[in-house]
Amino acid sequence: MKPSELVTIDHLIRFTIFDEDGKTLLKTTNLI
Amino acid sequence: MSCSGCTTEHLEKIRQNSFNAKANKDLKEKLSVDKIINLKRGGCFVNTAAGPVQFGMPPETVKDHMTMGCEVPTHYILPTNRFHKRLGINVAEFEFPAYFNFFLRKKQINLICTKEAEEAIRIVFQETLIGPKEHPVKKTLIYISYSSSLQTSSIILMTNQPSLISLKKDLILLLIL
Repeated sequence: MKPSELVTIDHLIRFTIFDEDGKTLLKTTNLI
Repeated sequence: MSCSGCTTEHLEKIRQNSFNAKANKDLKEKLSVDKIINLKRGGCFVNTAAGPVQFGMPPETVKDHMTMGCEVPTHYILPTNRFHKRLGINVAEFEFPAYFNFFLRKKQINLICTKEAEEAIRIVFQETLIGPKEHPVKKTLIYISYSSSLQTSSIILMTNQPSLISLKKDLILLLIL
């Protein structure tokens, strides 16, 4: 990350998203 | 929401009530009970090969780890119900763990949640971190009057609270151009 770059949610948080029953991984976001 | 003024008994009550009983039972069945570490303000965590994994994020949960001398987790499992209606506390308080990990440890946190929770968190975080994406700008009506005898002009800006600004004649012309 460059010093001038604006901090966004994607810099702070990575989401690992499961379906409602919590057994199936749907996607993982923001692998920075 | 802060818990700074809570008594020990109140915190214990919050801790016990903040658990999803079924999820906690399922977790305990799959893991050896002694590996689950309960936190003072609610939630619990397990040390794994990938680092500590925490279930639930009550307010000021970072302080619990710091006072216990434990590593602040980067992996968090969000409860299905992110707000405890009866106790009136947010049990998905992701903001300060995110800031702590990012600004102090240069790390991202990993929120393990559903698609619905991700969308809700993105909306909340957009507001708290950056501010609203767009906000309405109310129309400003400008009335210009010129007094030749006084050689002054007036601009009246009609906004929420009307204000009167007096300017020199040539400045008014510059504004008109």
